Amino acid sequence: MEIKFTLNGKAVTCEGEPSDTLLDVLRYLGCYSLKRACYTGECGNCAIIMDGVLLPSCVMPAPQAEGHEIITVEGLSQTGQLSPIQQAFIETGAIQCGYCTPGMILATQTLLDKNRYPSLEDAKEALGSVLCRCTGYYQPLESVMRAAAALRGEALPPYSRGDDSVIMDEETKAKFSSIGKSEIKVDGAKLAKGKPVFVDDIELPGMLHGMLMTSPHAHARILDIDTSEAEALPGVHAVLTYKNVKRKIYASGGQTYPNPPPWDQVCLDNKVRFVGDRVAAVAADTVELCQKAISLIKVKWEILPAVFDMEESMKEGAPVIHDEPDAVAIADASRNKAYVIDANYGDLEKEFEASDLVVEQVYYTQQVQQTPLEPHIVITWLDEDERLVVRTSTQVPFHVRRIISPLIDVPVKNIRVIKPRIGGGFGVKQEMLLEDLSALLTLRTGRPVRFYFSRQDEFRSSRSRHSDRIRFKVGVTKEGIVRAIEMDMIENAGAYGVHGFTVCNVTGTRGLSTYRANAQRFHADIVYTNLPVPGAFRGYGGPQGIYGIECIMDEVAEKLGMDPIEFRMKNVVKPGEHIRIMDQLAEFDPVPQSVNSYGLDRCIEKGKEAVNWGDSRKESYRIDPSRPHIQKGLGMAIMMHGTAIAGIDMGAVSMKINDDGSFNLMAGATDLGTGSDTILAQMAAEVLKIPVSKIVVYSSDTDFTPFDVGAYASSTTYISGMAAKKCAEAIKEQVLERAALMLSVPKEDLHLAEEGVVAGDGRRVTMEEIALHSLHRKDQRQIAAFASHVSPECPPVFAVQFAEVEVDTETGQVTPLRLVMAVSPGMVVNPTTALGQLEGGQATALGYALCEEMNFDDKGDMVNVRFGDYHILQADEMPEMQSFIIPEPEFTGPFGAKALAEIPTDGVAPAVANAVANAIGKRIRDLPILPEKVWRALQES
Amino acid sequence: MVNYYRPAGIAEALSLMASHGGNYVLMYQPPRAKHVKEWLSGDIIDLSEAGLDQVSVKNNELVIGSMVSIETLYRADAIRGLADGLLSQAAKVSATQAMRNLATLGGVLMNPVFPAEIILALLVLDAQVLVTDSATPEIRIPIEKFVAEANPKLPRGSLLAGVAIPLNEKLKGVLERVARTRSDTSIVSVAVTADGTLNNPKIAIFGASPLPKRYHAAESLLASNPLTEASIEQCLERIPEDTQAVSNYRGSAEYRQAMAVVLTRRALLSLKKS
Repeated sequence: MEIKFTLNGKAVTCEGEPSDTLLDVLRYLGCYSLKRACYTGECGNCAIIMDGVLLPSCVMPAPQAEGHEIITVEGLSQTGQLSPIQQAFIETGAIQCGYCTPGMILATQTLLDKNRYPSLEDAKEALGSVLCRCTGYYQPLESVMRAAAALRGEALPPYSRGDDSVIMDEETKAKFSSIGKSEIKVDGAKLAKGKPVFVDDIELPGMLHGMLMTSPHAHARILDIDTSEAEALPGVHAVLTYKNVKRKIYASGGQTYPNPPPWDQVCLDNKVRFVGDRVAAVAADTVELCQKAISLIKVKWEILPAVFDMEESMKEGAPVIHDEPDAVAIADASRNKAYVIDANYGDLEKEFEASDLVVEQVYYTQQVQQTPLEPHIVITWLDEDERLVVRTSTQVPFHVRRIISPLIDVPVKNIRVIKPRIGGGFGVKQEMLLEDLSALLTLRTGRPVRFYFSRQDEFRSSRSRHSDRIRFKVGVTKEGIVRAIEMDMIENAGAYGVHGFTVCNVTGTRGLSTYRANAQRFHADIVYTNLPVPGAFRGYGGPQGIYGIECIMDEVAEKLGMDPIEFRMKNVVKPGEHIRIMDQLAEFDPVPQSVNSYGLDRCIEKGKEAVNWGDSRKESYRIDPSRPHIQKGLGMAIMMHGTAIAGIDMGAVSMKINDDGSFNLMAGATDLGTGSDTILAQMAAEVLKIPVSKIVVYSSDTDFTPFDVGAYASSTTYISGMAAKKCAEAIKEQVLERAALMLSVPKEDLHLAEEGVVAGDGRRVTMEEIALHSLHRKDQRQIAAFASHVSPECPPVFAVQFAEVEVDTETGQVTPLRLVMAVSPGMVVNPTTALGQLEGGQATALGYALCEEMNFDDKGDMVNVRFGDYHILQADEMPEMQSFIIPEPEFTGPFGAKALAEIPTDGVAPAVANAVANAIGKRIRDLPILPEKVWRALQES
Repeated sequence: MVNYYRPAGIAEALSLMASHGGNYVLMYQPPRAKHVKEWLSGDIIDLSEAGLDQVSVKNNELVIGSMVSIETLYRADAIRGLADGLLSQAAKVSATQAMRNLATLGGVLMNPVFPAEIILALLVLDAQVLVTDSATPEIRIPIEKFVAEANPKLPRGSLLAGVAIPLNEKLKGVLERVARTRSDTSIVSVAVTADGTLNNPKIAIFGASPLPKRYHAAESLLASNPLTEASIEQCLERIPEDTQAVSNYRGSAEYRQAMAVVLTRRALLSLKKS
């Protein structure tokens, strides 16, 4: 039917059926700022303004637009000028991946249209409609207030969080031109304008839709599968099953070659191992035809007994999940053990015997989902040379290329993987999940294929964080010196072992590396069950290990009658100390690790001061006589997290000069919203003494950018950053040589300054003149370089997390009041983006502490597959947050930088658990800390 | 092929409905949104311009049209002034602002289970559901009867016009709830009202039974007794008798039953203090 309405001030007429969502019709009209994320109206990433009101377009039948006036972000900057709201979002660092940004900007617009003097609560209410997984909402809320001031006509100083957040001395600040400065994100403007920069924002002629048929059973064998009716359906172009796809064992994790064991997956199998597992894949003209085709596929199932509990799974007689003969390097398939890890040093039993106090506890962590707002999506096609192009939302383009090559029988040289902007990853896109099937459908049909996960698919069939059972045993002297720590854990690997060993390895490392002891032992069983598959999730095992160790350290301190910080600081590793357990825990060959840069003492002092540690833990503070059922508590945790994978992670960068003295910087590193493109540009700009705006960053494309392992393991700033620095230094040498030629002076008499080269006698040539000379005038050559970097070290980052909570002692509901984090990330490269990482990570971790959990029915099917039911935190329920960055340069890192982005996910859960214990005197030892668990603990007394 | 209609008034809507037999869907958007394809069981009749989006006072009743948005329920002064803003508070916790803008009272009434706070408020405000058809301009159905099923059914040819709430300036109201987090869907929620003399309190609870409902047996214990801590405790003893809690991932049946008591106590004590 014909629909007429006004779109961004222009009358439009379009075709749309009631079965079309307004979102899809508006995207068809070119409004790519509207994002597909949930189709249940719960995330607000598709928000529009209709007649002045913010609405979720994904749940509106298209004809509802008839006669109305609709505004999208495209309408806010039609003249090319950014609106004050867009400008504020860019300046404050409120844009990370940018997927939710248009929705947030429109939410802000509707608020400020009505109220130019909003309170913080008003701002929270407005942004509460739009889910964001990146920012923690702090910077978006700042944007609202800054935009309001701009719209009121107030003169605004340059945005700054204030000196208190980044504690850097003047001498350090003065040393750098770009490093340590809050440069605007290089992709900020296009994201604020809602430009078509994500995978789904292109339309290709003849593009088909691809869809996955998933298993309704947790464990079953496919005795037969009949696709004849589906294939006969007009508009269906290909159906893939185990019958017509090559069986080739692989591991889907985007990890370094060779992938860590086990290898236990094939593209399509004749057995399913969890609800949501792959059964078949379809390519058809429309999404509806895909669904229809899938409904016509007849499967003859042999339902097998399923096991969901990791302890039950290891028992004799439990269903064997991987009985296929071709799986590689499963530790003990008959007992469902994907991998077993053992590491130890010292005489553990002797040390426990010598201890004055031994405390032993078991902690449980739950399975949670990364929930990037952009679900997995890939578009594949054959280019004019019939090479396969894979445009995909991935953190690991080079790994994707390598992994799919043998599965689809296309050599690496004939595969090009393009990573455009990514709508969040958080680890879930460190995996090859859809690319093989989409590629196979393109190869079978010769046509472009768009293959995506719905939100429900994303929950059921993508990846998640491992749930664990972790037993800690700690022996201490009465003076509070730790003698021995034992950590014994079971990790639930779900149906496939991908990332299972390496995540568990990090859980053990993080559980045992923060505190020194005479003896330590780590044992882990990584166990298959018939649950959805965990994988990489920001923190990568750290949150589980640190939750356990930081809870038991609190419990030990309590039993000793010691202040928990004082007890921890007696035992925490110090600069120069060798971390002994890491001699045995590694992905491949262990690399001895020591503590270099530190900063923990300063972090602790800053955090204590911010939360008023001494007084805030007193009973007089905790109890408010006017609210007898409310008790406050304050808890803390120390975190240590690695930087990259020593001896494995490699990144590379190339640069070339252009006629105007600007540079192209090409990086294989994948900016998934973190701002790494900007960081790399800052590093190059620092070396070359040019503004960041003179560097055009492109990442990543396997045809054009050099290799990089991708965005994981907190490696980009440290590894790819060092590659950028080295590359820029090589460029610098060439620039100086050219200037020497131009000025007829020795190179040694020259130095770079202010977009040019200056000689000792004061003469100067600009970078543009150097470019023109080198490209056109004499001894022509392209000033260009590339460099790569790998580090033999993974310098640990240290931080402290505080959490203040209120507990309702009648209902058990825990309300977070405040999160305070202080971190020493080496040198901070970009304070604004760094703070955004801290706040976003803490927000995710707060959800982990309090509410997030993948819940399953007794058949193993996830029941909370809507955003509203799973519940990631909204802007209107975030506590006060304070983040402090205390730089202390790391000598192995570029300009002294090390990691930052993962450590904020590590400490919130134990800090909240310890705060709850401080409030009510009861320990909750399994996450999340739901009201009922607290209530039950209180009933016990 | 599904058609879409947006009638300009009730009469046109009823006429359209009559011409379609039973093969139509009245598009009341609930706060827990449906996927667009879920609307497609018949031709869609969008009532957004049928004149059902008004809040008015008539004959000492507050009349709220079925197409009034949840956001208006939250913001409208007339609703904020009723029973200490009980219905307004209930609207606020029902959904995000964007969904409140889209969802309507009709959507809540036709999908009363989740979230249920608005229904709880209507239950203790003694609301009457207003239904109209081509033969009868106004049919009144007590809210309690209307939401006795998880999926209320309207007689063929009739549409939901709104609700009428008796006005009582002295009415006091309290909403209490427990959830995993502040903005999450409630595990258990309780609404209570009482007049200025605190006689005849009304209690409605969701989360301790499959449907939101009034707790008449508990109320009866307070009907003839002044609201004291002792009478409240007596009343609370009756709450578990009427609960049929069902466990899910947000909370077990045992917890839900316990919270029904805790929150009712809290709400009644709050009324008493007021």
